[in-house]
This record gives sequence, structure tokens and C-alpha cells, in this order.
Amino acid sequence: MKVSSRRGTIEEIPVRVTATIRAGEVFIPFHFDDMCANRLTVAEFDPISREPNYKQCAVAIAKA
Amino acid sequence: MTAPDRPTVLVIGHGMVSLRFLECAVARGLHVSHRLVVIGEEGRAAYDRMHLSAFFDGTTAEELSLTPDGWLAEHGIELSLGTRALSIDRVSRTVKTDVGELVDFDMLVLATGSKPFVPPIDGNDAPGTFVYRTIDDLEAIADYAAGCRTGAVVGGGLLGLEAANALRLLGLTTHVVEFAPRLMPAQLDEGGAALLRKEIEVLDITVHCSKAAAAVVTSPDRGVTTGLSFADGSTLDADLVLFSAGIRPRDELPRDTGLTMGERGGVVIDDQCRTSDGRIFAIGEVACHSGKVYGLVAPGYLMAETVASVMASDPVVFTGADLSTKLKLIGARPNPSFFPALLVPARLPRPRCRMPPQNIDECRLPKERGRTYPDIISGITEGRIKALWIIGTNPVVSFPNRDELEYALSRLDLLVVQDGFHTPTTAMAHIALPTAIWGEKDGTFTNSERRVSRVRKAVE
Repeated sequence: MKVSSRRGTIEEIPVRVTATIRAGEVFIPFHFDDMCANRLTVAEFDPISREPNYKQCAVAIAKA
Repeated sequence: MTAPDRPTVLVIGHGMVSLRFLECAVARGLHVSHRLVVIGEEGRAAYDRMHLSAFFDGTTAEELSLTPDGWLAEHGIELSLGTRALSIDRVSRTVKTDVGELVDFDMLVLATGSKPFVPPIDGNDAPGTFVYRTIDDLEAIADYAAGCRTGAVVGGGLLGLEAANALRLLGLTTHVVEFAPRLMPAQLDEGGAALLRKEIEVLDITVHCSKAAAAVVTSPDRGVTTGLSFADGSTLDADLVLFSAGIRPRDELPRDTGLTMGERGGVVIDDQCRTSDGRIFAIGEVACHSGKVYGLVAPGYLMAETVASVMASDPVVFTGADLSTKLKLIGARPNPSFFPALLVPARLPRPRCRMPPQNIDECRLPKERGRTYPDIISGITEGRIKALWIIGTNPVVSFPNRDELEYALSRLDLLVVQDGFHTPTTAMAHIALPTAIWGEKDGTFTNSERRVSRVRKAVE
């Protein structure tokens, strides 16, 4: 499958449909260079701590 | 598919900047509207000159190649390798080559790059002296080094340090000799250079600053290199001497054909990278823009893009590149030896609670808090930060919006990355250095929850 956001796309990512993730949500682990979740994430930061907002971003899933 | 009377764009030179021009040209469809012809002096298609020392670390010439197999042919680009352009005739619009050919052009792009500067000292051409520029140079160095124990690099800039790493990887006891009082004098201030020196010396490379090489010492019997002598009367033993003391533009062609030249070399170009002849462009290290010849790849890439855009009648102008570099240090994951973000916290602790940081005494610590991690990245994109030193973190994978981050890092004039392993971030570095990770040292560090963690050395 292909997962994309306004910032970037991860190609050829395996997708599993499961009951452990809430309907309408997609979970992607972030550790991997070849399927890097941070191609999708938003570069918005907390105004005080400057921690990035890694946890939410809108994505679209499509067949690769 | 293509009109037979397409105008010919001839590119002389086929290094990194030449290839970038071809990529930009193809992206703008110039390979369809024009005939693209390239002459390259070396026997190889464009390769990554920035990471030449990887050649001594097991990377092959093929792996250093930047030209994907068949890419040029696929786009109808005609490449002649091992061919040197001898002269340009601006009236008949032809270039004469050393294989006796006359190549026609409607527009010409000079991308002949530069050659290493060899200081005019005695013995500079003795057996055992080398320059470090091409894969052929590297092969010659590797062959000669097999019979050597000690090597010296003249020049402590970016390329000099890379050359030193190459000698080290060849198993030589390695020295770097720099004329200025510090390493990388064009890019680093005293504090940054002192830090770099320390990290270089950890690699068993001996650094000699404020040393002016006066002559290559040769053996009286065979005339081969045995060392260097300096202006201060001292000497250094070395079986192999490598000159990496800057570059000079390969500007014989434009000079001989009467184009306007820069005072200190290089062919003068305007904001559209045109020389004094409107049909002839110049990009990269052969070009002189506003009195400057850039010895870095990034401005060359910008020029390449400019020329492609001008030819496609959609001009982006080249207005120069700022070379004033300022070292910023980041370390967003705890590192036991150095963590500047925590050394200068938002609210400084009371003076009696402060201790001078250990093992970085030679570094001039900043007096004020610097930028946070995300603000460093946006500072690069805005052009306010030119050099970055990353320690023990891999932002290419861990930072949000990777495409934007990679764009920012690629804009840096200097990227130094220190890590315990090769990572996608070290792959983007101009200088990648090792660092000891937590299992390799004793001490404490503050983790992301601001707790102090004690670590003990587990491996050497």
C-alpha cells in the first residue's frame, strides 16, 4: 500500500487491518529508514518546549 | 520524437555540477528541445567527489558513481569520456578535442571544475607526492602507499581532512599540516576548530597548525619523498606527501578564447551564469561570480539549475552564495561528553551551582542559550545557519517532515556528523566522525525526562 500526507509518501508499506487500532486511525512505527514515518509527520512544535507534534497527522491510504 | 534541427548544448566537463546541470535540463525537457552533448576528460561518468575517501573503506568506483546506468542514453544525452577539449572557436562555434574531433555547439556550458593547487616548493613533483582529486589519483595513492609507513597531507581544509582519512584507512601513520593557526580556517572559528582538532586526533591523525611547508625532502640517492621541511626550520618524516591546499579553476579554455576572466582566475559570469559571450555559460568551480570562485558543490548546483532554467526560458537567477560559516552545535539526544543544549539551559542555574564542563575546556562555550532543535533547522532553511555539527542523533529518520529536513541539511555549506554507527544522517555529512556511545564510557548523562542516568563502560 501507499500512505501519503501533504508532506510526503511512504511507498510499498505493508498494511494490516486490526481491532487493536481504533477505526479511522493508522499506526506506523517510526524507526525505519526505508519506510520512514517522518516523511508524513508535521513539522509543528510546542511553542514552549519545542517538542515536535509527532502523534497526529492526516494521511490517505491507497493501493500502491 | 525530436526535431532534427534542435540546437546543440555542449557541456565541457563531467563532474558533479555537470551532472546536476543535465538532471535539471532533463527535468525541464531540454533533452527533447535540444541536443545535449557532453565531453568529459576522465574515463568515468560523474561520481561523488565529496566522499572519495570511502574508496579506501571498501566502496568501489561503481558505488561512488552518481550516474545511474543507462540514464544518459535513456534521455538521448551523448557523452564522450576520456576526451579533453583543447580549444573553443567562438566564430565557427566549434570545440576541438584531443581525439581530433570538432564538436559543434549553439550554446556551450563550461563545467571544467578545478585542479588541486600544488604549492610552488622544491620537490613538489618528486616520486611520492600526490594530489587528491580523481579516482585515478586515489588508485595511484593506494599503489604507492603499499610501500609506505607515514603520510603527510599539506592542507587542513575539508578536502585535506578527507585525504588524511584516506591515508589513515590505507594504514599509514598520518599527519595533517595546516598553514593557518587552526583547521578549516575558512569555515570554523577557533572554538569549532579546536573541537574538530580533538576529534581528528582521536583518530590518530596528528595535526600541525601554523606550519608553512618550505620543501619536500627527498632521498639523496633515489630522489623519492622522505618528508617535509618547514619555514620555521623544523622537519617531518613522511614517505608520501599529499597536497590538498586549495583549488584553482580549470580556466584555460575560456582564457585562451578571450572571455572576460576574474582577477584571481575563473571565467566571469553574470546572474544568469553567462560569460562575456552570451552563448557560453559557466558553472561550478571554473566560474567567477561577483569576484568569487566557489570551491563548494552547493553553489555549483545552484548555478547548474540557473543555466538549465535560463535555457528553458524560465530563469532563476544566481545571486551568489554566502560562504561565511558559523558553527552551530546540536545534540538533541543525551551525549555524555558534550551536550551544548543543556550546557546553556533557558534559565541558567545560580553561579555556585555551576561547574565548568569537563573535557571541553578548549572550546569557547556560548554565553547565551542558542536555538532549539527545530529552530536550528528552520534557521538553515532561512539561510541564517551555514554549518551544523550533529552529535549522536539521526534527524534524517527521527525528525518530522523528512523531505523538508533533508532539504535543509543539503543546503548547509558544512555538515559534521558524529555517531557510533553510520546512519542516514552521516551519509549526508561532509565530515562524519566516530563518537563513543554510552556503553563505551563511564559517566552520567541527563535523559529526555531530565533524569540523571549513570552509565558504566561495558566495551572498549
